[in-house]
Order: sequence, then C-alpha cells, then structure tokens
Amino acid sequence: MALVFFASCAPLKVTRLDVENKKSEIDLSGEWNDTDVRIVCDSLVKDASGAPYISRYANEKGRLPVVVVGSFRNESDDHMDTTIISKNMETALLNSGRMDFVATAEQRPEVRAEIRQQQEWTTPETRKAIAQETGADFIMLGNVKVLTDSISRKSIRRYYVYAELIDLQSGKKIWMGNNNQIKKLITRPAVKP
Amino acid sequence: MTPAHLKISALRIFMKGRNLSKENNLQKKNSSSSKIFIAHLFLFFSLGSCATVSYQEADVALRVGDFSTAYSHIAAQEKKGYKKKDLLLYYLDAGMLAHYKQDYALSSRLLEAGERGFAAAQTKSISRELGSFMVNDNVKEYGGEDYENLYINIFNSFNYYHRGLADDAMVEIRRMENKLKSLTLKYSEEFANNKKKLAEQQSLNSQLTEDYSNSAYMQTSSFSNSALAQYMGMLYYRMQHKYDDMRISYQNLKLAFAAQKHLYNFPIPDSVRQENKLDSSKARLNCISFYGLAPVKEEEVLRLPLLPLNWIKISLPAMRPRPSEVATVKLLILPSSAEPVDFADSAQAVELEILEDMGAIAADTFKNRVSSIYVKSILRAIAKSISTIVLQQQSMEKSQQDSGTGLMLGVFSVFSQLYAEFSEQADIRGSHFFPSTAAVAGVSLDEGVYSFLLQYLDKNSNILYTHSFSNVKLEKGKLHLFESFYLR
Repeated sequence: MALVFFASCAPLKVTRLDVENKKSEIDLSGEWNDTDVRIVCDSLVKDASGAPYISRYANEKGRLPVVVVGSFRNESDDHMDTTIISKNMETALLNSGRMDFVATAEQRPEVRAEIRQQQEWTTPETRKAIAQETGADFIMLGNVKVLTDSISRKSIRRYYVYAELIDLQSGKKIWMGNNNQIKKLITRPAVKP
Repeated sequence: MTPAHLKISALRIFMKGRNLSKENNLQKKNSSSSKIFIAHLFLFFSLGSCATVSYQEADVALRVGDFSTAYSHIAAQEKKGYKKKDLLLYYLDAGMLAHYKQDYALSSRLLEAGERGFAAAQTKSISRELGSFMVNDNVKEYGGEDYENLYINIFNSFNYYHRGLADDAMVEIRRMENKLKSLTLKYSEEFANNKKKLAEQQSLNSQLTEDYSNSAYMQTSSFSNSALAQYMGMLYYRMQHKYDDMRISYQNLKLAFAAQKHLYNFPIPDSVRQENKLDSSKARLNCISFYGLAPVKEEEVLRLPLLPLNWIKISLPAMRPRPSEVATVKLLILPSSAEPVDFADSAQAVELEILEDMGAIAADTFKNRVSSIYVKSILRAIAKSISTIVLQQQSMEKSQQDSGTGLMLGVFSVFSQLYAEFSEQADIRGSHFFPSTAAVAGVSLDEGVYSFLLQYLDKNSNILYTHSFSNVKLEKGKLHLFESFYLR
C-alpha cells in the first residue's frame, strides 16, 4: 500500500538524450518522429548536394543557384510538421555553400514590412531599398506519402518522401530526390503488462 | 419431485452432455463451487461499477444550442463522473462538445486522445477481461464503438479545416479511410470464431434447445465505405486543385451508395453530383448540416431455455434511435449588398439533401460487436447457472448428513441465483453527442459578399432553429465550407 502511495508521488523524471547517439532513437507510438526526419533529411540532402545540374549551373552562370522553398505537403495519414524536413534541407544545403536561398512566401510579408519601416525610421546609409529582392531561379517542392497495411493489432507503414527542384523560368525539373527507407512494423501487445 | 430435484437431474443430463457426468468429477466440481461463487461476488463488487455520468444538464444546454454550457457540464465530470476505465468516453463526449462550441484546438486534442484510446483498447487488461467473463462487460475499459472511431476523424478533419490546416484536415480523412478498409477484416475472423464457439456448445449440450448460431444477433455489418468521408475528400482535393483525386473520391462516393443500399436508401445529392463539373468563373458555397443525435444503447434482457425447467438470463446492449424533430433543412442566401429584408421573400433557397444517415451506420456497425457480446453472454450465463445448480445439489446432499452445512449451501445457492440475475447487466456505455444525420448543399454564385441562413424545419414546416452566417466573402477557386448543428 505504502509502495503504491510513494510510487504515485514520484517526481517528474526527465532524461536528456544524446541526439548523436543511435541509442536515442526511440520509437514510442510508431508515428513519424525525429529519427524518421533525420534519416530522410540526411538522404535527401546528400542526394541534392551531389546533383550534377546544380554544379553545372554554378559553373555556367558564375554564381550559386538561388532557391526558394515552396510547399512540402503532408499527404500521409500522420500529423507531421513537414516544414521540419524543408527547413533541415534548406539549412544543410545553404551551409554546404552550393545554393543560396531567398525568403519563403510566408516570410516575405515580414521582410517587406521591415523594409517599409526602414524607409521612415532608418538612416539613409543603412536603409534598404524597396523592390530590390533577389528572384529565385528554382523552387523546392516536396511531399510525404505513406502506404499502410494493417490487420488486428499489427500494421505496416512505409513512408515515401519526395523533394524536387523546379526551374522557375522553364518549369523543368532539374533534380528529384526520394527516400523510402522508413518502413515500420507496429505490433500492439495483446495484454497489458 | 420438487423443482430442486428436477434441476439436479437436469444438471446430470447437462454434465453428461459435457462428458462430465462421472460422479467423481461432479464431486470435485461441487467442492470448489462455493469458492467460485465468492470469487464472482468479489469481482462483481470490485470491478463491476458502472459510469455515473450525468448527462441531464448537458442535454438541456444542448437542446437550446448552448454548447459551451454543455461542454462545461461534461468537463466538470472528467474526474468524478467518468471512471478511469471510461476515459475514452470522456474524450469522445468532451471532444464533440468542444467542436460544437467551436474550440477547434481543444476538440482536436480531445478527439486525438480519444483516437489513441481506441488504439490502446486493443491491448487488454487481463484482470478486467477475466472479470468480464465472470461478471459482465461493464468491468472492462470502454473500448468504443466503430462508428465513434470513424466519425471522430470527420469532426477532427473539420477542426483542422477551420484552423486553416488543409493538409491535416486531409490526414483525418485518410485515417478514416484506412480504418474503413480494416473494418471488414477486423471482424470476419472474430465472427467465424464466435459461430464455431456456439456450434461447439450446441454439440456438447444436447439440452440447448435453440440454435443460437443462427440467431438474429449473429449478424455482421457490411459498412466499408463512407459517402461523407468521400465527400469531404472531394472538397479538400478540389481546394488543393487535385482534380484527379477528386474524381476518384466521387467514384468512391457513388460506390458507397451503390454497394450499401441498405444504408444509403436515398439518392446521391444533386449538389454532390455538381461538385465535379463546376463553372470555374463562379464561387462555390458548400454547407454541411449535422442534426439529430446518434442512437444510444439500452439493455435488452433475453431468457433462453437451457435445460428442462431452467433458463439463462442474458442482457445485451441494443441501439435505440433518438428520433430527430428535423424534417428539412433549408439554405437561404442573400447578397450582403441587398437590404436586410425578410430572407424568405428575396433569398435564393436551396434544400439540403441527406448524404449520410450516421445513426443507421452506428446501428449497422454495432452488429459486428453484438454478435461477440451475444456469444460471450451465453457462455458466461451458462457458467453462472451451473454454479447455482451445483450449489443446490450440494445443499440437498449435505442437508441429509449435516443440516447446518446444507442450510449454508442452500443460502449460497439462493445468493448465486440472485447474483446470476443481477450481475448479468448489459454494457450500455456509449458516447452521447454524435449527430445522427449529415445533409449537404452546394451553390455556385458570383464572387461577392453574402449572408445566408440555415433553417431547420419540422414536418409541419415550422422553423425549429435558424443558424445565420453574415458577410461571408466568396471567391472563385476556393473552398468555402460551412458547418451547422442542430442536435435535436
């Protein structure tokens, strides 16, 4: 009885996990999680970094290609924040020095509001001009899909993540990457421990 | 010959049927029967308490459309009214009321907790499962009904849609479709096993006078495709300009009507047919109205003949419809630029058409579970009856040697009979606030600002309730989907 009482009064326990350590890859519910994001982003970034068209473009134009991140649609049956995938890709590709990125459609109103503020409140020498934004050469789009199969307490989920770079001028797709490495067998226990 | 003697001879016949007629076996059974009876009583009192949720005040608030008050009454009972084993029930009730009161983020949290509850209910507690075989199904955690598990996705989809999260709204529809796909598979094996169990019992006990395996309770549901889910999919795909996916959803909607005529015994709404071929120069107004309340469960007691002069009592949950006062729902539209005159004179009027009889689907999908409950109840009631008969026989035998022991066993047998009578209670738990009917309308209009009303009329065309929407800007190429409720 006393044991039950003290167990119910146990303080909140928080364990910090080393995200670089494989042991921190923990699946609790079987739904899309941080490990899945890491696996997918690693593979897509590696794929995009090595894309021959992007190297060729930089050589031909004498400057880095400019990319705007567009929508990354969730077409699965998991609630997931797909901007984590697109942001991770943007970060890795920007830091690799192989692409430049411009503000996304969601960010632009805030950027423009700041420039408008500057016209009134900022010293002329530091003020930024209106309508001098860099136009993107490419747009990055993507989506996440899932195939499921289930019976009784078992289900299989396989995720298909696609990303692509599209030339804004020609509409041509210059790079496509996909990852379908995430496949999970989720088995619910028949009885409670 | 006294009735007690008749029962003892009947017991012998029964035991013979089960190949247990040898006296030694019977004696061994007799010696433990009083212990089993005490164990039953212990489980009955320790696990058998039912939920004590009071719906009265929430129902009163719901009748006048005061969803916030209805929610408050239910939320106040989270800890005291809803037992821990009925937590799923709380999430469903509170989640639906939060949706009606337009607190969409809260509703999502509650309905998603409910959805996790459905998944968790697949993992059973051994003690509660055992208890349910000895006492009744009320000792189990509430595992939810299939229609609840399906329709939470529809309302959660609306929760996301109203918050501008189109992808997440579509996630919910996909989840519902996945559940529908596995619904048939889920029960086909279970149903075959139940039939087998009853057939085995029948062959073992020649005194079981009825063929229970062909009872009206041994039916399955054929529901596997929801027109409402397909309709929502159509609208969301149109919003995302995915016209091929929209066309596929429409084909599936037509299949839902064609293949499930007993559930869709009304025509496909005209407005749904139009969704596929809209005039791109016009804006589209879509309204979906939910009215009535889904059926609730009530207890149905059956007394089945078991042996000569004996019977077993079983209590089954049965779906009782809650008839709606609504006969028609009308949509009246008026441009905002017009004078605020009487809507009835100058507005464009459209009658909403039924898309899904959610109450009928609730009752139909419940058939799958009733067959399992029916089989389990029969087996449990037989076990309880045997316990009583054994105690009676023991009492008769002991009373000749030791009148005190005989009397005590006699008292036990009376209590055992009473226990069998009172412990056999149907599990009538179920969510309380799902609607029973979904009706839809779709109107193409010039771009502009409009006000519109949804009027709920009874069979005599009296207006029961009016839900008004003012100054709504309609633009072409966008989804303008409005929800309305009248839960009476």
